[in-house]
Amino acid sequence: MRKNTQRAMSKTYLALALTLTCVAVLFRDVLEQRMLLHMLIHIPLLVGAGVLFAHVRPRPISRVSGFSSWNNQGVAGWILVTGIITAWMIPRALDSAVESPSIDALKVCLLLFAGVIGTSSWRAASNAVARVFFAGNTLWMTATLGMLLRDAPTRLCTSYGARDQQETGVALIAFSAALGAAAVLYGLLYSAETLDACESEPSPPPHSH
Amino acid sequence: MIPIRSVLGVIVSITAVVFLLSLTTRGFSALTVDAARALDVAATPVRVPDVTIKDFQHHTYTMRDNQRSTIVDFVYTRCTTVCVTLGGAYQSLQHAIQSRGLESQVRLLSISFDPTKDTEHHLAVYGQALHAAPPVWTIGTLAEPQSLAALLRTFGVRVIADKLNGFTHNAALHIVTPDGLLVRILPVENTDEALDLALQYAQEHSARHE
Repeated sequence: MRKNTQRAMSKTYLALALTLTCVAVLFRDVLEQRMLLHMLIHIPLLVGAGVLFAHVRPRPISRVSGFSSWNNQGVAGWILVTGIITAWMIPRALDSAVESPSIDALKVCLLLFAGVIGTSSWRAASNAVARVFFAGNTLWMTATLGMLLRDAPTRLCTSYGARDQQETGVALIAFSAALGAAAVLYGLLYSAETLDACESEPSPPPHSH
Repeated sequence: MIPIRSVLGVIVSITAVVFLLSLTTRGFSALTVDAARALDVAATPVRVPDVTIKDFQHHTYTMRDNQRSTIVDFVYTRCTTVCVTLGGAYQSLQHAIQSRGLESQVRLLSISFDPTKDTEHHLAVYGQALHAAPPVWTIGTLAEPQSLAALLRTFGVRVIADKLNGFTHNAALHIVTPDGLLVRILPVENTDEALDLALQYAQEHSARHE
């Protein structure tokens, strides 16, 4: 029974992941027309699709034997994720993606990859401190970029206007604040659940010597 | 004792990230397309298409002058933003050229990228408002409008339509030698540097052709 539910869920994840990817790719022209849409919808769609792909069973990463020993505690994987997200925050990268379909295709692959690797690295990070660091670091970077975009005196992208840039900056700050708040809430709820679970478990039987 | 694979994993991912970021920023030297273009052109001059420009009096000029260096910019006459700054910069350049007697060595060329709306009348009015004096400073459109897209691409000018029937575009001073080579792209404020550079290339050209 449980296996059937898992398979059904797996199919849902796969369908959703493929839908998000298709939407992002097919609506490329519309979504890349404004910096706001590009950074806050197009890119998250692709990263989200990657995350969903990582939930499909059989899990793609675990098939690579010994992968977890390379990605101990998810550190190596999260470095890659941070690097990929940083790369697509650079104005030149955004402009190149808008102007060149082949660079845009590369962007799609890298962002999907980041979603997949990010999910498996998050799972691998059994240490709560590591998770806080991963999430906190990424959110802080996004908020900083938002502040830079909001306050920049000149247009940074040749493909987007000044007001677009400013609006994107404000939106990025709001986005990272919202995600940060959600993460804190999740952390509090999750730790509360764990505490409840620990308290409600019957005490283990004493070992027989 | 940290297992060796973990360390290797981290090293590999750091290397990959450094490589990716280096590609994105042209070897950590440019964050924007404009900065990257300016560096590329300074490193490797680009041959520009030898297009013909016609002004409001139907006089024609070619991009390649064979005697004078050209400082080129791209405008449209209805622009109320960056072209105003460009106009001011060109006025001071024109003044410098005239007062220093450099008319035979440096000329100014403003090309409109909106040939449909920028008719002779608009060009005339625009030129008069700025006191542009041909042949020192010519403001015109391309004689062959179909070569505009390729020209803008060569110069690295990107024009996007804004919501108010106007355009948003990047602006710079483009230094073209008498031989028709784009050798430098400078920010609009760097008028002194632009003039010195244009003069230098004109003098080198005449020295070689004596």
